[in-house]
Amino acid sequence: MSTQYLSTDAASQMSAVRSLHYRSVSGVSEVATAMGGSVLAQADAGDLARIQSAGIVDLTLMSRVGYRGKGAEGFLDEQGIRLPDTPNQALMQPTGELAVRLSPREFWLLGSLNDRGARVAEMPRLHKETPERCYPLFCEDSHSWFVLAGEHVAQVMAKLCAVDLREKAFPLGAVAQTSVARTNCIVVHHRIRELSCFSILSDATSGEYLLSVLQDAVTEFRGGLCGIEALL
Amino acid sequence: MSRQAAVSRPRLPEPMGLMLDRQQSVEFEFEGERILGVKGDTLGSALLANRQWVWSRSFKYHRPRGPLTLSGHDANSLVQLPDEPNVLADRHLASNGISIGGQNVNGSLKKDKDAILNHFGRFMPVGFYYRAFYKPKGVWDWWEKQIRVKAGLGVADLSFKPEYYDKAFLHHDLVVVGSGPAGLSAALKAADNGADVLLLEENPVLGGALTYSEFSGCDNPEQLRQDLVARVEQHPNISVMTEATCNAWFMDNWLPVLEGKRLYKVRAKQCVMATGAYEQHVVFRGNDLPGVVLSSAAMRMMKLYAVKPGERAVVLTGNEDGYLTALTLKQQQVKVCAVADMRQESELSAAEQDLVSQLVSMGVDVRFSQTVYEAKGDLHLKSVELRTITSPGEVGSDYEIIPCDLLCMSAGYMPAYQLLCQAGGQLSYSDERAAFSLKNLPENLHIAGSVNGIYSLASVMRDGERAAIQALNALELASEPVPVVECHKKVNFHWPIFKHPKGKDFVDFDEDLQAKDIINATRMGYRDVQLVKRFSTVGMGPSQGRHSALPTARLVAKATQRTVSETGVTTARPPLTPEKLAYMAGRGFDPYRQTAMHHRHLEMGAKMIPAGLWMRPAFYPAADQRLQGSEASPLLPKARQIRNACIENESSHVRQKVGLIDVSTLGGIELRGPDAAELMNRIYTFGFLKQPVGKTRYAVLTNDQGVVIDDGVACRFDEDHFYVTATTTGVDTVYRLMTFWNTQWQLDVDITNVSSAYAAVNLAGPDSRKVLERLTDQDLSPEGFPYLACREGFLAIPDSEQKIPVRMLRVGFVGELGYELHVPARFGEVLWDLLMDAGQPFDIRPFGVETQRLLRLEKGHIIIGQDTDGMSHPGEVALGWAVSKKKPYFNGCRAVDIVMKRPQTRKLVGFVLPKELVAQNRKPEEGHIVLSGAGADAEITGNVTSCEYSPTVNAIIGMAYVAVEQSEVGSVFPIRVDGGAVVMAEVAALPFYDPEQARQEV
Repeated sequence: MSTQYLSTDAASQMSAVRSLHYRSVSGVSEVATAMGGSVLAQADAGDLARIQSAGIVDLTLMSRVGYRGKGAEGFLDEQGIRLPDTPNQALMQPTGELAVRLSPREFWLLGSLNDRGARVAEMPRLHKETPERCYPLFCEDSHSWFVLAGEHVAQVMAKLCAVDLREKAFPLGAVAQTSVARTNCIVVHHRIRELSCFSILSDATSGEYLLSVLQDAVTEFRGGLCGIEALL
Repeated sequence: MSRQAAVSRPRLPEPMGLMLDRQQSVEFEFEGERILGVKGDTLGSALLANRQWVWSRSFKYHRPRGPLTLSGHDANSLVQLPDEPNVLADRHLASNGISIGGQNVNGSLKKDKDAILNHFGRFMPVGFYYRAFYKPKGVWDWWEKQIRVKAGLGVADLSFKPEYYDKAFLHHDLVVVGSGPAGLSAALKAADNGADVLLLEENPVLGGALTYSEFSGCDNPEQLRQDLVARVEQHPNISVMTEATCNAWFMDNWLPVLEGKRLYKVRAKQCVMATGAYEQHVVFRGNDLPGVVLSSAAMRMMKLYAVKPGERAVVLTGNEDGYLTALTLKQQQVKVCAVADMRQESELSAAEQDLVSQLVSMGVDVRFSQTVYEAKGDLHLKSVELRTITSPGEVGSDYEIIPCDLLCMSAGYMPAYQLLCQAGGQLSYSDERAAFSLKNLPENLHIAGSVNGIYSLASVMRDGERAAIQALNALELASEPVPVVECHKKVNFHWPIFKHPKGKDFVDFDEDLQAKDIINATRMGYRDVQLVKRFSTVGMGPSQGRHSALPTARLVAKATQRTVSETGVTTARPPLTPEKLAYMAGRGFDPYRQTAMHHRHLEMGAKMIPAGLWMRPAFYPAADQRLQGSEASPLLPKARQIRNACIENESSHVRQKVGLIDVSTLGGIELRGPDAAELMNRIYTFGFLKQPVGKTRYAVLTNDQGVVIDDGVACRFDEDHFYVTATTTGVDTVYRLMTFWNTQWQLDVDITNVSSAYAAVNLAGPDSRKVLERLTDQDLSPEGFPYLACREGFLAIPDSEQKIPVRMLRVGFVGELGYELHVPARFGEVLWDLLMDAGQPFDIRPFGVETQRLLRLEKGHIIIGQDTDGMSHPGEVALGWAVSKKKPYFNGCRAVDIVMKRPQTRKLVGFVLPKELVAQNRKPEEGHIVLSGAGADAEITGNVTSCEYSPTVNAIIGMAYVAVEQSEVGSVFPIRVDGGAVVMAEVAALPFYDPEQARQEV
């Protein structure tokens, strides 16, 4: 058995949770997440226009969990999570969570905007100790999470990443573990409300850097930072 | 200067002027004169419409130069913009209000004082600069100033503000370079079969030669172009980039493409180069006069820009294109005084004979076996001297002068070979066709059209489809037989070089190289064309041999009695066209990392220093001591004084009270699973199988050479759970090494790099326990939480129910009672705030990395990478105690055994300097060398690795590698410091401070 690295009882009540780049994310309103912090609800009145073109939504403080090891797949199966059959694939759950398979034995579950990550946040709370050879990962703290959404996502990423991320080569559900603007990133292609989205998970300590790079890259497309309401 | 209006000629009627929007005008200044143009004009075409034919002065002789190609392929058209030199006038679009001028000019373009150099050519033979300017000794210093004034082309605007350039990646099944008839046909064929095609065109409109050329057998090339372009633009599988230059070919079809202010890095599975061919000039005296142009340039003037190129024209040709040009000139009311065909009449094809008949019926004087031997004029062509060709390159003595203001030359074509030769293609010369062709192209790279030696329009289009089929077959999108496309049309005249005894018969316009210059280079022994290039600079100018390579190859071949194939052309290297550095520099990515507490350090005014990708606080100066800019240079005395004072204050504070340092940059690796201890045991030098739960243990890592490469603290939180720290810059190597080995060992353990997941601080000093007690109910007593223990628990947030999960390590890196506190990164900033608040009653202060370095030096603790180097084995750095002798294996154990058994030659020791050096501020720096003795013949025995003034010891202390015989405590050894002076240091026992460990083990 492995113990969750975080006392989730304590975390659930935390209001002192901050991303490493929170100073770079501001707007007119915020909304609390199940992870304990808050994410931007609305940057400004231009959110809806930006998100259609190339919007960036910071979900770093949205719940996510990861499990690795021989026992991980069985554990997640028992929780009713539908998992992709092969590595580097992602599968949207009926409730809006995104299950990402990063290797034969590594899985991440990204929280849904619909419940602000509540269902995902419940998992470690319900399973403080995981089965043998099912090791909880640290992705809430080790990685930042940005969603790049809109018509021009592939063109934006073409400025930052050497991998072909156009729909034809990188279809819905595809996952790339690659370098974006010279930082290691996991890029997941999914949709939210018919909007093409890339979830970009990268080293948390480079969060401010990556956010600045993304903001620079979307300028050409009149994109920019948006709150999560633009995706709801 | 008052502005003068130039005389603007009316433009030719439509359909001439494909590029123009005649409803809109543009106006700009050239050399102080007002130029009126039409929207769509280039600077060059607007100048021509305003009868401005002198655009530049030549590089060496300052001869007047005007358009040659009108396609941006020659250096004659380089002009100066206010903020940019070397702009191609025949490529740059004209716009309102700009002011342009000539460059490389002393005075004005029309009255260039340096034009006198034209008369001193005999004193400037090829390569003269290699044999001048250096004798007598010291004269170069004088010459250099003169040459620097004269050398170079335009003037850089040093106040220019950098513009935003960036880069992007593109991926396509097929990239077609060039949108002439071959490129369009290739793109359509491939796209129709499902390929994802990118079509690149360097000009603003698609069509290539279809935009400006006439073709026998095609009555309306413009209609054909429009039909093809419409299909391309509507095709869902074709992306088009115009004004985009494919500037190189790299391995596996990696194509850098310049468009606007962006460098595209294009990856093509297949590539078709339909890059066309460069029309070639004829070498004769005065072939550089403004008014002497390539036939294709005259066609471009008329068909693209509706500019009438002259009133009285002579056409000099060796192929069909001269006749087609003459016909177009006639249609546009230009008097064609004569067409001189260098060939004999019997060499003409039936189609060419038909064209001759048409011209003769229009009253045009067509001559055969004749050439222009000299073009005459001052600032513009006034007449040509025609002579009969008697043998290759030779003419008879009779001549005829024909007054004219335009001479069009059609000597043949050279394949646009540069990109293909970069790809490994080889040029071979056919004497029968007097032309180069390309062979030995790599896989997945195909050529089509005139670059492939195919010239008749129908064949060119078939050749485009043929190349597309090759690409489609390779992409497995088709399985078609590849058709054979042949074209026997001969376009090159075999010897269009007519050397004149008075010279000025230019082979290379960029570098003012005449026929005799090339020949003389071979006579001086530079027989290889590569040496000819280096000696004469032929092909080294902006046009990169587009027009000089072929005549140079012919001249060198003849002069060295070899074939043209044997002679070849010089190596083509990237970039194809001059490339602004902005394309390389634009939007670079320089990742940086920040700890959760980074902004707290900034708010407190920390002096930040780089540590890998991180910025870390070195020390925290007071508000009035925060230097900015160049003032903050550590080389300046004031900055050093502030640094030293801060370090002394901060270190004393930690020794006497309590300090806090951000150590989040430390690496962290989580090992979980039944074999976690076994993995630790195999990786690190110490024994870890029996490490008790709740205890930490020092962990040293050696590599396969037995060298110490990292260290850290291993915490055992459970039987199957280790958390091991690593150095800031070493953790990735450690993690990689662990996963590499375990891929082979298949131990039942999960290895996770959690460096970014945890933020951490070191709370250190005699009052650190009191501070921590305010935040946790954990038993912090010496018995409950002794030195080298580790615990998991919580820190309470005062006045709330909230708690932060924390890992606590009792470590002694700085030599005081201390706690390393590791929390999930999301709580990092809160942790800092909590401790600073809780420490307030105890006067807690932050301390920086530089202070920490001093504190650990006082304790004799080494820093891997600073106190070790690529040779340091555990014995040298006194870490033998951390190497287990009992276990069978650890990483690097065999090498460690070997190097430890060898006679040791050096040792890391502590040293103290005499007290008086403190006052003299004569502190050795890290890297200063240790000598075997004080004499002049002393040998280097080691080097200083750490050195700092210690207020605690009240002396300059340090660590250094010394010879073993110098390492006894009390021994004195010399250190050579800045300026060659030597200071004597005494070996001291380590640690310098608290050898009984009484302060950290409380």
